[in-house]
Amino acid sequence: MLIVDNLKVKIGKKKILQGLTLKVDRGEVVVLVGPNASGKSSLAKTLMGFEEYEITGGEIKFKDKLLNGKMIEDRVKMGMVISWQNSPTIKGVSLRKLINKTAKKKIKTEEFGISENLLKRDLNRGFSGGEKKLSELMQVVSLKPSLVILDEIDAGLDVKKIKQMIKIIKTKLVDNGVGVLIITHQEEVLRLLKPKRVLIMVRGKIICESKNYQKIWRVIDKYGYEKCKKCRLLADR
Amino acid sequence: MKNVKNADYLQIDNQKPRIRERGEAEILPIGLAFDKYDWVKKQIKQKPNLGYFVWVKKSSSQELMSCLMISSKNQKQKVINLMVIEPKVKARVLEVCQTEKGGLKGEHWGKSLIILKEDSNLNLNHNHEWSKTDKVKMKLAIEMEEGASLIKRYQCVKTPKDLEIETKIKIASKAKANLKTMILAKKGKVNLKEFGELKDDKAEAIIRLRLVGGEDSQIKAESMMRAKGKSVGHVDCMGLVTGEKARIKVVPGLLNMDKHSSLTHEASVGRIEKEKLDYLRTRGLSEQQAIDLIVSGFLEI
Repeated sequence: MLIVDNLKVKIGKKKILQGLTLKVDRGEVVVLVGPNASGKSSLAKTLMGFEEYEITGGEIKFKDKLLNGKMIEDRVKMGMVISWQNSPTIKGVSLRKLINKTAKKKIKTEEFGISENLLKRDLNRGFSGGEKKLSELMQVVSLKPSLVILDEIDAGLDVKKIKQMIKIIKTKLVDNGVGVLIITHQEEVLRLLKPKRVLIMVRGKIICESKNYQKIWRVIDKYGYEKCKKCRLLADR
Repeated sequence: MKNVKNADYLQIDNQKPRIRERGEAEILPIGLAFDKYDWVKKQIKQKPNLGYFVWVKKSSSQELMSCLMISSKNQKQKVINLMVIEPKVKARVLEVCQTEKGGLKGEHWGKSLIILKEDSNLNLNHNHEWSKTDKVKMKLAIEMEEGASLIKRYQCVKTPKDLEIETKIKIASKAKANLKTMILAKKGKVNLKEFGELKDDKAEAIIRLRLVGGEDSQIKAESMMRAKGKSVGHVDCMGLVTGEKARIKVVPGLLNMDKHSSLTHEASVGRIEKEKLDYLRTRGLSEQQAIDLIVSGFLEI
């Protein structure tokens, strides 16, 4: 469903992604891990079409259509949706107002642990970390996506909240055939989600891919990403 | 906007007004009130030709509505209005000033006085709707006696070519005023002046402005608050520039004349942050839909 081939991206003069290749199929869960500043969020924003990320090479195909140059909202209409890591506050616009304006299907807010009070409040204003993430997830699901990019949806959450989040991802997205590309730093997410593939990203490239998430995490946990950087199995060595 | 046919006082161009009787209030053409009541003569020096006189004597939950409309080309509508709310009376008033359609090149000039007597309570919504060929000038004086309470909400999302508004409010002891002004200007000039005077102990006032400047509009807003006695006042001026050539200038001013009173202000003029637009676009909205949503939220106060 999503095919990224040899993608090269820069912001200004700075090269961010340097020949990145990946794919995500329908209903597949792919986890992207990597050290801070390796380009994971930049990849997510490039996939969504954020204008400041300039594609200098390669291509992004979604549902067999080339996405290069397409606007953010057009990608959303095609079924590609993102949850934000740090979502901005929008004064005077309640969560309910936004959902009513954008949702493509009816949502039972209680299934996402969203209270009536939260729906009435200005978007993300004074939301706790957990409330923000649940709100993001609810908005993503309401858009009836084919592919979602979850950028650290688990960041700053306790184990109970992560479990709640993963349950929603499974039941509302994966079980309905939605492809999921999830960026995370947490083992708990891997353990609960049991992804089909784990990708390791370092310095703007996918340097390793494995179906065995437990093995990948054991290495990262023991040696950090330094081991990955020196790995002989690196595709481009 | 409410149907003008429901207005209790309807003034079209410079024609004779249509007035509906209301049990709780006496509504008259201002000239007639001038002749009828000596105390009106003390408030208004010269007999005016046009405008309304609204004297609310009893409380009512039903909204009282006035409408001043320009309906023909090149009309100059000059009105003097007087509204009085009797002591302990609660009133809700909707004032609509508008043009019936675009391109009439109308001029609307209004001078109004509102008197809130002791412990009275007024909830006043004032809506303007003009076209880009009109000119509008409005002066409003509000006198609040002890314990009176006022919520005034002025909104203009269709601004004329020139809009000048001057509001002066005097707030006596224990009286509370909450003034909200929301203007969305796509073109033309807007000049606002607001002056609040907290006259005595425990007087309270908040002046809030939300100004949106689109296209090549030019908005200037001065909000001044002066305090005496143990009073509290706050001025809150926020501008949002959405047009490439738009300009907004806000000038909040505070003058404290008593060591027991407290005056504060906050002011900002900014552009819509790209991050917020991008966020809403990732929810499927176009850039223009995202701007409209942010502007509508900004104007919500």
